[in-house]
Amino acid sequence: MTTADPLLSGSGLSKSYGGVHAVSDVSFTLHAGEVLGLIGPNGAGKTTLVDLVTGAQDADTGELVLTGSPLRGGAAHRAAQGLARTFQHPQLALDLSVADNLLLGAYAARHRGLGRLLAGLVRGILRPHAPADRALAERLATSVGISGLDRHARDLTLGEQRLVEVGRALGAEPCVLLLDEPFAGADAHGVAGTTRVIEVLRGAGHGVILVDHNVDLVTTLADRVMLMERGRVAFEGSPADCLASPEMQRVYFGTAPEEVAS
Amino acid sequence: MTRFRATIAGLLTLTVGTALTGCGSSGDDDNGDTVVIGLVCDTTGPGAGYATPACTATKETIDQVNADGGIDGKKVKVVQGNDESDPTKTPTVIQKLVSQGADALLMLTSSAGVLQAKSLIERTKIPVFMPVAANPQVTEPPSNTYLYQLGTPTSDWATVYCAAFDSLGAKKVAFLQDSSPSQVQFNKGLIDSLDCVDLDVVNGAIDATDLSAEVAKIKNAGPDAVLVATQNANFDVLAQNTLHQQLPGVPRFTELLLSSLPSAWAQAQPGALEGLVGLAGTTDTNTRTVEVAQFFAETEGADFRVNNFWTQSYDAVQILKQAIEESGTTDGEKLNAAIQEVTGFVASSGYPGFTLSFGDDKHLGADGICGLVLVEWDKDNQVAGPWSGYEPDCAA
Amino acid sequence: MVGLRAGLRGMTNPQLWIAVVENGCFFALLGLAFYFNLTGAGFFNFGIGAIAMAAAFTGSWLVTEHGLSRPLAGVVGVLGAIAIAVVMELAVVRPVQARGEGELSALVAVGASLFTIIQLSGLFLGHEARSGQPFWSTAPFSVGSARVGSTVVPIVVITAALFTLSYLALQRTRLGRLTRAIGNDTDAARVLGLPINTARLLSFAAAGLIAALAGITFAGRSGVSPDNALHWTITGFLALVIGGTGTVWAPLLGGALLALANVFIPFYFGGDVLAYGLVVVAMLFFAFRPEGVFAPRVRV
Repeated sequence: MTTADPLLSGSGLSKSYGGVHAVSDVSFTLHAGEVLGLIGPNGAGKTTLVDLVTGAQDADTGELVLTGSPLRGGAAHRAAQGLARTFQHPQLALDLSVADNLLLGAYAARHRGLGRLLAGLVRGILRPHAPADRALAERLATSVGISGLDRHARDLTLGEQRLVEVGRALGAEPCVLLLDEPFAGADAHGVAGTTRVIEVLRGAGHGVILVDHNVDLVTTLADRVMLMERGRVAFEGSPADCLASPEMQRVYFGTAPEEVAS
Repeated sequence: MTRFRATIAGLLTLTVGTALTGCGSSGDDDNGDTVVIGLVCDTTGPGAGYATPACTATKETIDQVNADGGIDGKKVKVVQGNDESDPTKTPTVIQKLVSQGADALLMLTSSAGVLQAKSLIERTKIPVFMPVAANPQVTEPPSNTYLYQLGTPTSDWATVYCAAFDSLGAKKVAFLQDSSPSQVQFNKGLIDSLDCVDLDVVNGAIDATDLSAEVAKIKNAGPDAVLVATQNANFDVLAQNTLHQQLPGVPRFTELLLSSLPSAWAQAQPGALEGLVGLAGTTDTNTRTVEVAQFFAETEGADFRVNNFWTQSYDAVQILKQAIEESGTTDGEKLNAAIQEVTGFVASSGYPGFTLSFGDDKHLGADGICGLVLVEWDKDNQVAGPWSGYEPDCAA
Repeated sequence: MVGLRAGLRGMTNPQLWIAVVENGCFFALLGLAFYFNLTGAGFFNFGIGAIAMAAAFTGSWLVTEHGLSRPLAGVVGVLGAIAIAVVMELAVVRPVQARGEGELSALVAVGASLFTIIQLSGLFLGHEARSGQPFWSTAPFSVGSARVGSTVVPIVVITAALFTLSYLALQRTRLGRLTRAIGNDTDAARVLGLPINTARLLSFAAAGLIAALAGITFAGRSGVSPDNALHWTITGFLALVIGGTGTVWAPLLGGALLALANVFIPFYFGGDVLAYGLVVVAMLFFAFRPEGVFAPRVRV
């Protein structure tokens, strides 16, 4: 499944706020068809790392490479290059319908010059959804397991909002999908929908970075796991090795395993 | 982006600077052989409608005086300021002009500002003319020693209006005024003097976008005539449009401003000014008016139309010139005394024979009511000429 | 009884209701222009009144001083207004916001732009009011005892058309969805890679277009001058505040309510208390319904 050259890699990434080192000298690799799990307690720097990768924040130091090319520019530029993400707290356009929100990712990914947008004005006034748009929205909804395309986003549960976010990211047809706590507040149906998306992307040779507090789910789905603590990588390896590592015990329980046993 | 920011900053500096400093001075530097006239021109505030032509007229007249050799061989220099008819700014502008050596001031701004500055003017001891103002409070004591007006006071306006109402048999008149403080204050004297009719005063906001409510109230009262009392052209035009629409057939009057602003006539709806009667300061039957009009037309072009803003400004400069020549000095008190000796000055405003005179206790120059002409508009919103309904006996 | 009769006389006077409709349409259009800026850029553009004034003033100057036809002068006025709006976004709002100096700095910068437009209009085109030169006016006609002026039908039709087109554009087109999504959460939109700058630019242009059409049409009533700019800005802002931002139709209601106050406060209490009355209306909304009549609904 994986190839020799990584799909996405980061080296020496750091970000500080005053005297607080949110991310400190973090390096990672992600191969095609791989799921990289990112776990750690609150304040470990997981979401900040996702922000640095997606361009939501600028790294103080470090480099990112996507499909062999340096990754530079702001969030919009990186989105156009093939990165898509969800947010720790869902960020949907609440005034828009489920269908419209799902389509936003696709709109972002496609060429969207001024002329095309203006030309679409007249067409759109006459036909609210082009058939292709509607079909895409339905496919994305089916992919994540959400129904009621014409419901307003503000009327969705937290779990449903997370599913729509995943669907929206999927619509962008990303090389790499970064999921930030997709299982928080999700019910079984939501978990199943997101899990299905991860498996589809893995099977298609895309990369996924999965950030979540649900260690069981992450270690089940991920091919490799990175444990972060106070901005640094405390451990990186297979899920089984991570769970058995003394670093895991220390980070989550604050003690070495022999101390727990005694 | 930096270029854009610099451009915006530069534009702001330009416009703010223009508002504060006016147009600077003309003529030679003051070296003792010049007469310095201070000009306060509200060309950007609510008085711009009349101050702009009046200031232009003043400067062109001064240019002619200089071309003819000046006053007693001395060139006339102008220093200018703009108080935007803001009473809080008028004293500062006056002080600035005095500090620049003004020997006399010509105030082409609202009366409200000058009223605020009366005590300051009294202390400066230099003569001050308000060529086009008509608020009699300006030249009433106290602190009126150095203040003069050429315009006919509102008390004489009332005489003319009363005669006009009488000629129509109008007993009940609606008085629609804009409620700006300066206008309310200006109209107070007029309202008090219009005791010849039952006056119903209705106020409208000066920046109103609609006067339907005010006109509906007027209509409910069933007046014999309506007098629109404002110095704001927009308000006047809006009122005339609304009255024309909602009260057709009821005689309408207006004050002195509209007849002097052809640009405002074009603002009115087609035919909205037909039959409107307003005060004007000039008529073609006065040969002096025609001469002054021809003088200004040489600079302003063949399309030039004279009105009292031009003629009164012209006369103010000529009176000042005459007083300086007769006193032989620009010393404030002596010049002031010379102004008070001016009698029977043949005005270039009003009906033929209208004159201006000043004295120790006469600071309003108009000799009688013949400085006011009632004119009428036609269906094309143009001033057709003197109103046939009433004309004062100027031979008396 | 006499008081009741007097009260009813006002409410049953069709002339006053025609004034409400005409003024309400104008106020609503200004509010709609504000709405577009708010929806697409999350920004209160206090230059709207100046843009409307500049379009009408320039068009009038072209007709009266240079003999252009009304339609051509109107087109120039509209294009000029769009250009001013676009320049405002590119040269004032975006650079100030990009420096991270906060919303207040951008508002102050736009406020300065408002006064700049006023001064430049006066400087180049004169400070005296000019007659309105609307694209379209009808012959006055009577409806019962009421007289319908030449600008009433045009402004009603233009208002209906612009509101309907705005609704369709924002609700049913890709551009409209993008604009609403961007206005909803600009930071998320940026991270998603949505064309924020393009959407912002188009929202400013749309606001300029609407303001221009409003100003040019309404100026046909009694003319236009640079002094109108600030008053029109405040009016449009109030229409948005009162109507709310929950729907594109909200400024229409806000404009109507504002026009009701504008006509009936002078009728019942006098024209000199209009300003105070409007302040009371605005304060009541700020105190008890700051989100306006139509508030955006948020799931709790």
